[in-house]
Amino acid sequence: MKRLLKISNNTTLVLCVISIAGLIFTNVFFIMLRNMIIEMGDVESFMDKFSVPVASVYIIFTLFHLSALLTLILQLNFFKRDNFLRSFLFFTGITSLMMLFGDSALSSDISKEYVFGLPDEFYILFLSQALHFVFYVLMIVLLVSTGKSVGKEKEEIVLKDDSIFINAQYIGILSGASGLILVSVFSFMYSTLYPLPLWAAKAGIIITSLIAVIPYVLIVFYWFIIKLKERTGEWYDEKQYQDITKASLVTLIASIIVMTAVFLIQYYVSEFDFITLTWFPFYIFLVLLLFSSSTLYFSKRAAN
Amino acid sequence: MKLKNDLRRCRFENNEMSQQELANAVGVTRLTIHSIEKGKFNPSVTLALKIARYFNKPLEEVFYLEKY
Repeated sequence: MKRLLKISNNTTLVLCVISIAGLIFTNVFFIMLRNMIIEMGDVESFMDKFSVPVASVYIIFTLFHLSALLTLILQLNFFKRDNFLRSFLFFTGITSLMMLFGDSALSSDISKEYVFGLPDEFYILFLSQALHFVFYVLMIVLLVSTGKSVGKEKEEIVLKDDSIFINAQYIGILSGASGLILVSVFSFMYSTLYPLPLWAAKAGIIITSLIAVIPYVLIVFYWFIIKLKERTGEWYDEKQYQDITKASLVTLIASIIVMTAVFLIQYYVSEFDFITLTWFPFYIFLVLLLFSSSTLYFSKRAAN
Repeated sequence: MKLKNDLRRCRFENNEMSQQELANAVGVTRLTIHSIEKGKFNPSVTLALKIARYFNKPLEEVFYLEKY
């Protein structure tokens, strides 16, 4: 396990450094493309010239993301203490990987729409580049900091793991909070500032919701795979049962209060009518955020 | 009345075993053992008996009610 983790750490580190160089290259390309569209230059030949190098860099990005996610899973198994940075990177790694495919779709839209002026897709594209950048830089920080401790760490036998349980709560908080923010901002903006056809708004909400929720689904799936070897009654130990029971009660009461407040605001303030479109993802992310944060609070309160 | 315990002393008398080793022996997580030791979680009767049996001691020697 130690050897495999060391190999995976080093491979990811090399790919990460190459990817940062690639990210600088693709950003220079996108900035030059944006300027060329503004100046009404020969966009088509410019895109043809750079399409192969940019696609090659994106293949390296994809390899790096897959290698980074494998390393993170190995680290989750190896290190028996929870670590927020590791959970944060698992979350940003998956969203960043999905945004690689998003970048491709956005570039395709830009190539079709530039004749009508500067496409708005550039804003999302640069936001996506910022997400990649954050992931790459923090991944280097994690790899360098854990690279030293892999050798020193004792391989402890752990029959009932609590680090996956805690890490899943961290990811639940990140998924819940980002989902609430994305769905609220997206639907509010598009129903007031940039009115869109209903189908487009619905598609946007579904895509943003999926991007936010998939990291949580994957970590729960991973936890489920680990638990398959145990009987269902042993999936949690008795303290974890107590923590999730308390967290469920907090979630029930808090979600009723918040949803009542949202209903009243929507009823009396017409600008908040957007909630009719988003009540389901809004409720899901609210419950996810409340449940994960209260479970984490009860688990950590006993540990301090 | 608060439930107190001598878990820490028992562990040290038992070859200075770690919280993780005790957790493995009685089938719970390390965090649960840590919380019991700190008095922030009261174990079930079953778990308390498992722990006492593991140390080969009567239950009252490991867990007891705080005296006023």
